[in-house]
Amino acid sequence: MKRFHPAVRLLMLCCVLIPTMFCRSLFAAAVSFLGAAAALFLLKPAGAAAREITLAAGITLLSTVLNPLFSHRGVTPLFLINGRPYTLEALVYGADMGLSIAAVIMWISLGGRLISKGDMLYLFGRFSPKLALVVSMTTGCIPKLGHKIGEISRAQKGTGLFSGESRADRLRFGAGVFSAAAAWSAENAAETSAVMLSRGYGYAPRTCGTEHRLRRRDIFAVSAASALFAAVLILFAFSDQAWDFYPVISPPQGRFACPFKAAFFASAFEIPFILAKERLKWRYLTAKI
Amino acid sequence: MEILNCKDLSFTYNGSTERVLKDINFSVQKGELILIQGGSGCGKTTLLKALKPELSPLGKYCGEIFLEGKRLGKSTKTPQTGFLMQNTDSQTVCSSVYEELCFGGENLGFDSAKINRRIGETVSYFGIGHLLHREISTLSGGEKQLVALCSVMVTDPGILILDEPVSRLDPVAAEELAAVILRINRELGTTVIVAEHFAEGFFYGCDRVMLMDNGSIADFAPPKKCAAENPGFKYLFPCSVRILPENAQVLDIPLTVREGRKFLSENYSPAEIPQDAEKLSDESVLECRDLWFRYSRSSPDILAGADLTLHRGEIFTAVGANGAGKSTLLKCLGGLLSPYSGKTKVMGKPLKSYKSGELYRECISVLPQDPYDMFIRQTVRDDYRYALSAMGRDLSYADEIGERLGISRLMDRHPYDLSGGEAQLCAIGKALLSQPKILLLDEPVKGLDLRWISEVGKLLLELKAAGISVLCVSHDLEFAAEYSDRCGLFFDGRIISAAPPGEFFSDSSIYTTPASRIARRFFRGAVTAGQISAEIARQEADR
Repeated sequence: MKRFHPAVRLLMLCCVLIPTMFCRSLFAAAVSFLGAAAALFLLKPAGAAAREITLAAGITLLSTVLNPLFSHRGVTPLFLINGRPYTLEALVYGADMGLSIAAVIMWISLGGRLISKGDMLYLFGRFSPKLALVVSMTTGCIPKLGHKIGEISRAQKGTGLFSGESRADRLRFGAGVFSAAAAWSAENAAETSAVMLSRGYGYAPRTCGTEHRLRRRDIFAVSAASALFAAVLILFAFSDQAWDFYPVISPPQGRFACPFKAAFFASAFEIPFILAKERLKWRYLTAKI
Repeated sequence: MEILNCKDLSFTYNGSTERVLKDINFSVQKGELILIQGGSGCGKTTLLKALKPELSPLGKYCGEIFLEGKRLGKSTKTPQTGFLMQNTDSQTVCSSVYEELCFGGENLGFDSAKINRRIGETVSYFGIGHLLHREISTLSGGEKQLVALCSVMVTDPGILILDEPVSRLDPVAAEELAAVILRINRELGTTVIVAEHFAEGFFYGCDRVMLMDNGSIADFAPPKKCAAENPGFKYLFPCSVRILPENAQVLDIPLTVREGRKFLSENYSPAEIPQDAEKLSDESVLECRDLWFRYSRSSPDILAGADLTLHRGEIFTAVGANGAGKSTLLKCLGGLLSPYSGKTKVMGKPLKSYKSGELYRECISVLPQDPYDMFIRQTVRDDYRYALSAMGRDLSYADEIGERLGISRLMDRHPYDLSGGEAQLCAIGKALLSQPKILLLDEPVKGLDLRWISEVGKLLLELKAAGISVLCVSHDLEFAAEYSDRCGLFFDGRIISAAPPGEFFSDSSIYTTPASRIARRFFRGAVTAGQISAEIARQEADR
């Protein structure tokens, strides 16, 4: 995927992320989940991918199980809890919600791998150095903050502080560590922005070291992604492909259901398809060595 | 030809009345290499930042700075000045080495072909081709510093300013990077201004040394002249100068190990230095056997069969390269990480048998590498009191510790306003609040100058006299040689040899102190500058 133009990679990601977020469709949520899972397996080491997918599946399961506890709508009670019905419709709605959220999380995680910090600076640095700076520093800040919280928390534990097991102790411990890490993070961010400035950031219109030219494959990929994106949105909006869960589960009918499903499937599996093709090609090329 | 000129420069931080820089006057010629030296907090970093307006701190400036004849203002952009910060983690901006190398050129509007040509040249010249496609976060300290330096050099700066580029690296990496910086000056003709405590790497190779004291320039002269005329600053100079007797009238001051050896052999006779190793207590307070640790199932072993015994009242220092796993060993021994195999006993009891918190109350204290991580409140006193109240102890103990450690004057300061040395002393003070019997210190003298190193060392000796056992991991060999009862080399996941410093360092030829290199086969067994100068004084007295 790195051979594609960064704008194309970003666009391809948006073309699957947006319909996942806004189409209320169990089919779309499930297909997007599967597409993201396949891409994760193709892009990340198997262990890391399996961990992320397990986490996403856990979120889905939690949403599925918990939703009927709070929503009692629907006409098919499966059993009663505290005299309130636990309905099939709420269960399926919970699954739809969970799959969408999990799919979005996985696509965003893939985005971090597909589009580097340098790509972000390339895409936005020319138009708005400040915006690019904010994006790049925010994305860099969160993992650094997490790491620092770990360091400070170990430092406190190692000197006998807050090692009690009461909840009040833990709360005080957490609050103290977080505020110290946040202060460090603010200091560090200020230093990083001074360093960027000192290295000429904003001195002249930014160029890019990596030659990013739009090639034929970029145009083909972006056309395919945009066409599928448009098809998905148009079919969804004009042929009413939204699922209704209450009072009864009613999947959308009509002659546009199949084209919508086909378009969404192709859209969600475009990135995994490219990744799989690259992997096969790599296997083929290395087999000749 | 003059490249930089500073006239009557003074600086006061916002909200303060004390001048951090006082009437600084100097000029630098094109192609010169200037070494700035001075104790912690003398104004070196402030001066360097003042030379790069993009980094200059907020405050009141008086005086003028001219760079290539142009007067620098607050908003002047100086892309021709390359600057390398003390903290490499703030210096690097991108996630991969290649992107980092591109960053400067991209900012200056170079086209892609020019950027890649510059990267190609720089990478080949500095020999970092193997790092080009690595992620920055996976690099070792030395590699990170080298990449940061290369990313500055890609833009071909006319003047390079470096703020303590090597003081946080292990001795081997420090020597390598110092050699690269000297090469930049010699072979590329770049003007270099470097502030650094690691005198061994730069003192002999620089054109002039600027000695700073309390915000003023105490001297600005070629190295030999500077060393001869400023005995009060001896602690800043390389070991070959520090071994010279007080009030010595030496015509040709030795600046390198080779010159130091020549000086000894021409003026003194060979001697055997007696080793006054104390007998260690038989009681072991901390003991580990066959520790194995890795951070994840698929990652390599960081500890691979590590064994260690720490005796009561002993100072043991484990030395080794950056990233070798010394800190991991310390965290495992302190119960902050769990090895997947092996046994650890603390005060005779298995580590695992200590319940949560019990281990750290009156037993062990672990100090992290970054002393600032120890503080979570607004002032040191507040932090101490907060910790004491959390531990259910008497709050007045905070002031008692402050007095005992001589840090009472720092008690009302914000921890982030303390210098590295001050923060280290305050962090040790905090670790002592729980009245531990064992102190585990991770790089306690990293980035400190010799004066602060001796402050920390003295404190450790006092703690030792009070019966506290200290385990340090450090890459500072002189500190290890001066203050430890035993030293061990951490290599390949374990401590491969442990012995008293005299034996340990005089047996090693590369991983050893500069003093040991100078005294080798002449003053047998001497491993510190103090031992050599004491032997010189003895021979002088016999004459």
